[in-house]
Amino acid sequence: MTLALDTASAWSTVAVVSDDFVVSEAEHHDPRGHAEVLATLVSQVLARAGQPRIDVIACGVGPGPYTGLRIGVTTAQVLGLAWRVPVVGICSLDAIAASVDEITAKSGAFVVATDARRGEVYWAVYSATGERASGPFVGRQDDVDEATRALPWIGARAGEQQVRAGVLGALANRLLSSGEMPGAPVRTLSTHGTDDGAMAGELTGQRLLAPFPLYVRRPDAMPVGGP
Amino acid sequence: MNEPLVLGIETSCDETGVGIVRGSTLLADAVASSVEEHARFGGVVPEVASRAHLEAMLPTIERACTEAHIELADLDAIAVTAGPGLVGALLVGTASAKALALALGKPVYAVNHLAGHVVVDELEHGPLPPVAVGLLVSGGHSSLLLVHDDAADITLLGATLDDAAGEAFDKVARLLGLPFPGGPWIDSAAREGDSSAIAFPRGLTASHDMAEHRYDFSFSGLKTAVARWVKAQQAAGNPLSVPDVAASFQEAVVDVLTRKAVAACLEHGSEYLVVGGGVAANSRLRAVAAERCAAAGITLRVPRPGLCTDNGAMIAALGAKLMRQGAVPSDLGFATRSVLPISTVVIN
Ligand SMILES: [Zn+2]
Repeated sequence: MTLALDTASAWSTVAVVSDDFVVSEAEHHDPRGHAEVLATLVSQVLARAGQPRIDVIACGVGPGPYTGLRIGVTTAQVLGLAWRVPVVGICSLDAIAASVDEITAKSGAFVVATDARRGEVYWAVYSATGERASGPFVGRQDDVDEATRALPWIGARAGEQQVRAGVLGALANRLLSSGEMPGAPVRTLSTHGTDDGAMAGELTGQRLLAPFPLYVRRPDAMPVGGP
Repeated sequence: MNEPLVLGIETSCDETGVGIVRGSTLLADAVASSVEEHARFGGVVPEVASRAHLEAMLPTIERACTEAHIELADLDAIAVTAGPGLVGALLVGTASAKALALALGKPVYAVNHLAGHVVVDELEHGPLPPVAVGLLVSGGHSSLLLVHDDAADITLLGATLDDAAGEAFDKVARLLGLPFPGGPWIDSAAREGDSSAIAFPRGLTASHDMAEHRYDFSFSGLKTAVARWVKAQQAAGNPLSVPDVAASFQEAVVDVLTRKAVAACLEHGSEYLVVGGGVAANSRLRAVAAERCAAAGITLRVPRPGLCTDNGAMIAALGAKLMRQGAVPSDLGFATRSVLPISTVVIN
């Protein structure tokens, strides 16, 4: 039994998933509300599922707005520690791709993009079967158009894209049962240097991830109280 | 009945602190600091601090449990700093605390960071009888508190109107070419200097200020005065005595802090002065506070330096005291608040 959660979008979403069956699911829309509602949502879906024994936790690791993203990842990590169960990460764009309607998008390769603020988008390219072909990246929408000419877009332009924990959990279960192992964490603490691997789309081809945020950008280096 | 076993989480600034107490006995105090990551910027960078908290959280919880020889399942309650502080940093701590409380089925106390700075002294020096005055000085806060009960009844007497005391130390250190964080460097440079060499201003001590801002502080004018003095010396081609500037600046800060704190004790009938926060590690502050408290018949209480700086033990201690006093725990949906008045010791 898998507990899945994601806070990379404007939604806080939590589900209990058995294989690809969603036992219970709850969500709340508030781009600044993840911290308040997430623990309560977890407690609700567990209660609705009959307090099952959780064997694994799957969390969306973004990319997405950092403050909200960290709520989900921290929650998943600490639940895993307290329950002594493994925690795996899933790229949140992969979960969006997995929930794309078969007929509308999967006639060919497509792009999933979400709002990265500052006039940029987080994006990745998917094959017709929903496998990530490259990414995730961050960039200006025009530059992404240039790089992905002619591919249909899911997301950003059509408004806020919603991640669904049920889909995310089912995807994690499928990857786990096929024997995939999570990769090493991508560290992006430093404001300089080269430890920002995901920026270069280094996770291309890797679908089960370590439960650490995909920041995709280095931190802004502005101290409290100004320079 | 056994005293409650409480784990406290602190992430309001750049230290990831996890402490464990049983009642008022300290069992573990694990701290991971991201201070080195901020040194190049001369101040704490919020996004860097938040990322560092997330990376440090699990290892720090595990280290605290090992140190205390306990399992998470043994805990009776979780306590966490809900504010004041940097919001992105606080959220990593509060999300962790909520997850622990949920996973273990135990209550969570969302508490005020400043109250923790006062309560922590009880781990070292025993119960704090009413009435006490708290002087909290760090890079993030400079406050004078009137404490009737450090887990229930604290009122704000005054606070800084601009820079925090520790922030002034950092900024002056930078002017003098000393590294971040500035406190320890100014302290050691000052030992070689003459504290009466330069007469720097004492903010908010003039009689009209004492009427309006009796227990408030202001350090930005002092910082500007130091900058102007350094510039004037350079313009005149005079050699700059870093020890003299450091000693004179430090004396100005310490003089105002201790003078106002002792006055607060005398005017509110307090026999105790508790000093906390990173600046409480300053040797001159400790010496002058000791001198002036002794002269005024006030008992000075300062925890050891490791408990003055931000840590999880202070939050655990506050949680345990709240539990003992039968305080209502916080709802799992409590809000994290970058601004949290001291009148709210626990959010419930
Ligand atoms: Zn503090």
